[in-house]
Amino acid sequence: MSTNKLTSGIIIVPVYNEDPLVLQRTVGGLLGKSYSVLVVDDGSTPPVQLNFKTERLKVIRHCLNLGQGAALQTGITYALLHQKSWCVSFDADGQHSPTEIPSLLQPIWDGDANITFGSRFVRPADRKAIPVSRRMILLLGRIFNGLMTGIWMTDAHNGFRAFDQQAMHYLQLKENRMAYATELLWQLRKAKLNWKEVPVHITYSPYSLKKGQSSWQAVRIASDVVLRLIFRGS
Amino acid sequence: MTLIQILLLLLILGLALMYSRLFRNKHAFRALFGLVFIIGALAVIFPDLTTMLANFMGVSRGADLLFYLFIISVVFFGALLYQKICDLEEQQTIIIRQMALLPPTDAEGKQD
Repeated sequence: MSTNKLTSGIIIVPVYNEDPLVLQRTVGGLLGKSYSVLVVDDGSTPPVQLNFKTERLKVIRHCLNLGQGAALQTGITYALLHQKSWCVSFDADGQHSPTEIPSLLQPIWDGDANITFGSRFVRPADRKAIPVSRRMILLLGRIFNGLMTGIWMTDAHNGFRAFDQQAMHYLQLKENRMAYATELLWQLRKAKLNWKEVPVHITYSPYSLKKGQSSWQAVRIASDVVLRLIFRGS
Repeated sequence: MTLIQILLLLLILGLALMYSRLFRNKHAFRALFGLVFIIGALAVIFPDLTTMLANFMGVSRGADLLFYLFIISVVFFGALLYQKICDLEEQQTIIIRQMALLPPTDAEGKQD
């Protein structure tokens, strides 16, 4: 991977009330691989503070908590303003691995896709690493997304995604909370963007499972999507 | 006139004054709510009117007709409020995003 390609993009890490040590480790892992990192502090209390002295790290902050969708859109807008040619959304809770970023970006660099989605369901070993209860919620989410958008993916609500400049330009996420994942598919279809799924491994820890989406949150996401469809027409 | 009729009429009058002030620059809303309050007052003064109207529309009791109308208006105004809240949330998001994207400034307002 050439340095030029590496420095032309940015890794967006949306953060809300993350454990400081976990966040420090996640951001450190990304900086260690020479990526530029944008931490979007989504109104955490106390505000995010990181002990790195490098120009490759930027921290911006929402003065109020808006939600992961809003934090991602802020990151995308930042990337566009700074003329980045790609961006990757990366979870702050240590579930994603920086070593998998190049494979997520490869279809974008090859011009095969405008957006790539990390999928835990392509390789059997990755699938087996998902706790059974989480697998059931994801299956329902996949069916729900498929019915709502007509886009049938192997995974649903995986925060590990990469976008090229064209995709960043088209996307205007208005769903502030987690329902943005479905809105993103609507917009992707409307803009006729090319997409691809890339196998990724998610490392589940007791911490990340606690922070992850519960069944109740899944119901809330579904109701947000339905309300958007009724009142905003997608 | 019974005590409940007097109480209801006073309540309608109070609400009419409140709405009149609330929508003082929106004449269409003022006219709409004015009509609703006049119909309400007539229904309180002449209760048989609602029963007559209900029978005309195929509903047995006036109270039932009012209940149906009440449900429809609650759903309608609920949707209107939800829409408004969504609009406000979008505006709030734009402001917070723009504030986050502003370049950092020092104490004197100069850009770092």
